[in-house]
Amino acid sequence: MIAKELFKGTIRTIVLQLLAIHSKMYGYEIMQTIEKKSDGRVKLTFGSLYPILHKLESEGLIFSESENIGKRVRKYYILTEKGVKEKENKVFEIKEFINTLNLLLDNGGLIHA
Amino acid sequence: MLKLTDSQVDVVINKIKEQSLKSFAFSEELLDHVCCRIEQFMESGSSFESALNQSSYLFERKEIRKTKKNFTILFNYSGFINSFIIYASLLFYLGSWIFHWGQADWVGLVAFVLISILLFRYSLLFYSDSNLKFKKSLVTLSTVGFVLFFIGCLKRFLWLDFGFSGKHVMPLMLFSWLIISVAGIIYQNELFPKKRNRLFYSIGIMQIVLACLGLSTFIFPFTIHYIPLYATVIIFINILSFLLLYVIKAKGKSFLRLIIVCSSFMVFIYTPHKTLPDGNILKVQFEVNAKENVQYPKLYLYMNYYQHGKETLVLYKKADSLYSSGVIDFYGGNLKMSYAVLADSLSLQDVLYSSDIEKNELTLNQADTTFTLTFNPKPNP
Repeated sequence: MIAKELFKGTIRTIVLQLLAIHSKMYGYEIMQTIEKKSDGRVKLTFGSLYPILHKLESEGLIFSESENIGKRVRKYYILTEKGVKEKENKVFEIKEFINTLNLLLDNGGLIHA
Repeated sequence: MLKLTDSQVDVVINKIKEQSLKSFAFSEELLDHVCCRIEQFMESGSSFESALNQSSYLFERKEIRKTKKNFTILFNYSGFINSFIIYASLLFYLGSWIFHWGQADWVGLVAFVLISILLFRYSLLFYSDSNLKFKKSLVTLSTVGFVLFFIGCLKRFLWLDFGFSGKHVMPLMLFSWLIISVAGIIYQNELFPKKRNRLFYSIGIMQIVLACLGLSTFIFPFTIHYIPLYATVIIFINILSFLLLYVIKAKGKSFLRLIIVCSSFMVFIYTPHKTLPDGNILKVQFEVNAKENVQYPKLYLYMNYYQHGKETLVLYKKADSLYSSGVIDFYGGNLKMSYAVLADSLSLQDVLYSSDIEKNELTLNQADTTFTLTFNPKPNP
């Protein structure tokens, strides 16, 4: 498991990236996909994912569609055009950040300074 | 893929209902989420009951509270509520000044109570925040500040006794301002432990200095003559600080905004505080000898000491037909005033400007004097 604090600022971007790959996803599916893709190292909770989804929706980066599954309602989330642009910017920012971290932490970086 | 039957979904719905959760933004998603989890467990061989038991933590009150808290943080509802209360109180206070010249009316009381509620809200907020390093100090200071401010406004607006004289209301409220300002500085330190936000600190420290200056007018009599100048400075600094807080983007703005509004309110009720020119301190006690043995527990003395201020005093029943105020300090001499003594608590402006209410004239020109006033109870219709 990776410390929650390290991932806190990146969950939004990860969710946007997932929605960019899949046409539409619901909350549980997003959680399971993240856990699976990270080999169980990133585990989101109900309390951390859904507030983010609602926030992204309020910012117009994603929108939702409801579908009745028997007696329950399933909410699918879909990326908007604004969301696509935001995702591209944020993914670029995170990659830059990772490169910087690599520079600092890999050989020749801060470890040997 | 395995799918829960309608009757199994009903069981889940009833289990969630058992928690008596209040409606929340993600209740539909919670049901689907729990069902998905149960289905996943059942796919790996668990029975429905066992899968339900393993997933039940998801809809426990504790878990829902956590989610709601995340919502609040993410959507900044807390900041929105704080701002709403601050602007609502400003609106009420403005209304109080427009319609009643800032006197002790219910509109003004609402403004002060709203600010008190916000002070109390901050006490609770500090109490529930487990990440605060100086939690105890913050909770103590903000709670004491709230209690003093609230008692002060109840005493001023509703004439409640609380066992101390009305002349202590202003020092009490100024002291609460000082305490809250100190809490403000500590809170800033919590928010920006390493890199101090200079502007925030300057505003906080300025509030402490102004509160100390305000208190000094009760300790050093010579400073009384500078009260109008001092009040103008406070209002100028407060308006400037309030505008600056709009420009900067940082956490914790509402608490500073609250302190600024708090101090501005106090200045407005403090300014007409007997800032009379020349003369010494006049210690005056008003007594009313009612002609009949009237049954009112207290009477109200509405005063207009020309040019310098207007005030309402409460006269408490001392004996069968005797009512008396505490000893009041008037800074000045040869003070001419008109007054009315009534049994009803009314707006000061309504009393002083009503032609239906008879006013009497009085000159206060001696030190340490008790003045006996007249009271004519209204005849029963």
